[in-house]
Amino acid sequence: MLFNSYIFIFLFLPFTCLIYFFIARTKGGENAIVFLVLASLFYYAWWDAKYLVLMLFSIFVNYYIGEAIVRGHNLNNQLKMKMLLFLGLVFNIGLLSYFKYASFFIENFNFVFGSNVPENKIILPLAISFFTFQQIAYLIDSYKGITKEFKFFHYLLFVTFFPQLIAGPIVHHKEMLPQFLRLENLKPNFNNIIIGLSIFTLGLFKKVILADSVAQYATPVFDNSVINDSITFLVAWGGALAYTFQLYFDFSGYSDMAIGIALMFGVTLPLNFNSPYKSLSIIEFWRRWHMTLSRFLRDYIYITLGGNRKGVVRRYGNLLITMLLGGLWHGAGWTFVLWGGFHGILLIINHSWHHFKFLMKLDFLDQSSLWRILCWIITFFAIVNSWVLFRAENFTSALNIYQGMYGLNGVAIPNALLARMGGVSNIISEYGITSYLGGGMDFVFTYLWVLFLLLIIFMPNTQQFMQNFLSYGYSQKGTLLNSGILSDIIIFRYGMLWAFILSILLVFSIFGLTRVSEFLYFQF
Amino acid sequence: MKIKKYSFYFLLNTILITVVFSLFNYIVDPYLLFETSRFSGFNDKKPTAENRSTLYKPYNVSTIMPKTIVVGNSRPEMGIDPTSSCWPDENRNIYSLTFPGLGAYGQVRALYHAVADNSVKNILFAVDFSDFLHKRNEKNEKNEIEWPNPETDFYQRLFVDADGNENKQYQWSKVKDYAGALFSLDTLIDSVSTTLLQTEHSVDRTTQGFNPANNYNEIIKYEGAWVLFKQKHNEIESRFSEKKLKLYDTDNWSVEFEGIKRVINLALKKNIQLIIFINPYHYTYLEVIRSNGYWDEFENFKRSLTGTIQKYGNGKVKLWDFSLYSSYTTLAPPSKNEGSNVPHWFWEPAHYKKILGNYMLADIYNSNCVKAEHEPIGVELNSYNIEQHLLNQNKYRSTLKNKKL
Repeated sequence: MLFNSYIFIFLFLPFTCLIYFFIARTKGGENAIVFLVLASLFYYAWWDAKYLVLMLFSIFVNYYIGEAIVRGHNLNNQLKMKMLLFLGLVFNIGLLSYFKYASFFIENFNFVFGSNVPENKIILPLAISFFTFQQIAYLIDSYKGITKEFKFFHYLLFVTFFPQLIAGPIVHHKEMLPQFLRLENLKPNFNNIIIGLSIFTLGLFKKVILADSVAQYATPVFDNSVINDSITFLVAWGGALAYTFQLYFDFSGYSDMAIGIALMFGVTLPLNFNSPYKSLSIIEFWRRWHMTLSRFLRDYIYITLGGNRKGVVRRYGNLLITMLLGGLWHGAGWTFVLWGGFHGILLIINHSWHHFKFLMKLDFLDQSSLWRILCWIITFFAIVNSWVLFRAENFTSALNIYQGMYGLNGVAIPNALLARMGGVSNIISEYGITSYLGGGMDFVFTYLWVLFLLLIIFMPNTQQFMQNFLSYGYSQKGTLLNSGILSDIIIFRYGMLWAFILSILLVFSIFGLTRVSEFLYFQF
Repeated sequence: MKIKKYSFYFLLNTILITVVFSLFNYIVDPYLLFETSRFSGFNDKKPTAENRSTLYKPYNVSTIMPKTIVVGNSRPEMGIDPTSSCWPDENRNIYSLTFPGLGAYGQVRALYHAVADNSVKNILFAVDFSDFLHKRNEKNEKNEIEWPNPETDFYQRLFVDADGNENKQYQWSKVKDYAGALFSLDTLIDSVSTTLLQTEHSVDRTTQGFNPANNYNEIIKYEGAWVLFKQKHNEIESRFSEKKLKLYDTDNWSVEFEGIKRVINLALKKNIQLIIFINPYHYTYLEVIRSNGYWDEFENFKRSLTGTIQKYGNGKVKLWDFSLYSSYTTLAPPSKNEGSNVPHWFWEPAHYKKILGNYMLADIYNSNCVKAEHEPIGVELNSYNIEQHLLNQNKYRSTLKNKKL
């Protein structure tokens, strides 16, 4: 069941909300939690009931290991705790490896050793990457004594709470359970429901209207790149830019919807996106893109590897390993690994530059607007390039797009456009720009959408827009336009104007539900 | 403002905006579903109906209840005008039940749907060689296209299923489609586009389902007619450069010929006059068929059609072949230097103009609506003249080859 479906919006969500608060009022909080768990399991089973068993199995095992760790903690039995944690990690990584990476490993094994081990054709269970990471974090937190859970249904809710079950945000046990158990959250809060609905509307609009619209101009280019090695400059850039925006609005739209829905239940989920495309550096980008995954990678991989405590070389090595694993988390393919590696290298370069800038006392540059714009252009350029690897079916496809983006296949515009340019067409032709038949409207709309979305990303983001009601406390320092007139004006308040604007966005989004499409991050 | 007042305004706005948007969709009617009045300069042309024929035509044909239907793909949609003066008066109230890109199987299913309410008395069925060709497996595997085909949304819009039985999904499908046309973003965008694209060259579909090909004139005006020829030529070349295309599978079965057989049986059962014809092509199209090694299969296609009609038609079904080398089809394609010179009979190699369609109708119905004396544009085929006809065509081509091909 997708957030962007009639059945979810008009049936599942309102009825779940109503029944939850009704049970909370009449039967108490614990029963309401049981209901919410059942509703969440129903939500998951709607997609494929057979993987519900797998998820429940994973939850059972992790719950009992976690409980044993907590008991070990109470007895101060370090060895037992370590063994249990090790067992838990092996279980989770093993489960993920089998369901997500087995084919990948076998394929590469066969390639290296020339063997013929049959491949494991298993459909990736929905959300396995998310619920596995969330539970790994829980086990480590239990081991560290940060959190503990003795009630099975509480643990079930922590893992399966439907707004964040499928594609995050990846949450910590300690930041979730206390919220469910707070007495005031067991009563319907009209303010939370309206603000939640407004955030949900913004997310729905991002997904249905912005992401799905621009996707029409990204998908054909990437599909074509599998077989076409002569993609021209503007077509390649159009496709890469369109995908850059599609991915952001798709995933941040999903995250906004999750935050909005959770808020209706009185729960504040962590922020997952904070204007990443406004970033002035790759370091800043990773502080703002898929923030809960970055937090996980930092806390449980980078720091575990030693972080920056063991010298510069080890620090950069740890960074590279973390990003390579982050890439692999996204998908069982070498393009994802290379994508992670590419970002790892960018981060190393970025940290080195910061070090150099500090040594050479070049910090004053950051005050210059021109310098900041240059930083933004370089960062955005690198990000767009990296998404090509992320989206491409394989290396051939990525290379075909890169060839186009770097002008190796020349520059061409649709003949229909050239023919309407009058005398300018001759000048254009003199510069070696050629024309091709067909695709005129697609070309024009690709760049119109890219331009429009480029403007949209410089608008205040959802947390800035909702700052009067939902404060995350993240600043916009380190971004282009970190303050400005727009972020002062575009702030949600209860008033006629916002009632009108949000109802328009909602109607547009509901009208857009006829073209159903899955969220991109469901595949991870 | 208080939260309750805000919520009231939010709800009220949401309802009002929904009503306004859906009313706008209803009035503009971009897909011809509601058949609201057309106002010049506002919603007269229907540019966005272009890719929606499988949505609205099944419903339109059931409300119009025509006496004659033209069945086929985009070629008769652009070439056979239901309002042409060449139709016999007794055939009038004609609807073009034609679907761009829809294969012969889908066309047959649409035909089943149209005749279900018994108003249809005449069928003009345009067939296309390309629709009958499929990649067949080398081994003794069944062709992947079977009867019935996997059902898509389109088939839910038809009164009857693949075997002619009542389709129980029809009413629900209709509700979904009409609701979708009122409450969808795509419709809203298309409604706005419709009101903005009311120029002389805007794409349009008439109430009778005909495509006047206005947009081709715009392309010709700005880019030249050669562009249309070149682009379509590339597509045809790509289609026929596929290997191992065959008419039949290894069991000597074809979904398309099965469809023809069923259509003939249906027409005989319902006492409907059925005329099947092979669409005309520009000679460059025919040359692509030949150069890719499919000429024999093309001739077999004509033989098979003739044989099927002979076998099942009881002498009541006619077959016309317009896919000929003739003075109509062998004019040189426009060159890049000719600018906006409009080609006479064809828009491009695969699509003939309605002027040629009128000549075809004149041949079929023996009408004098066009120039009284003209070279026949097609040949009525039967099992007695088919071989001679094929021979004549090859001879005719060899004389042309020395001149201009």
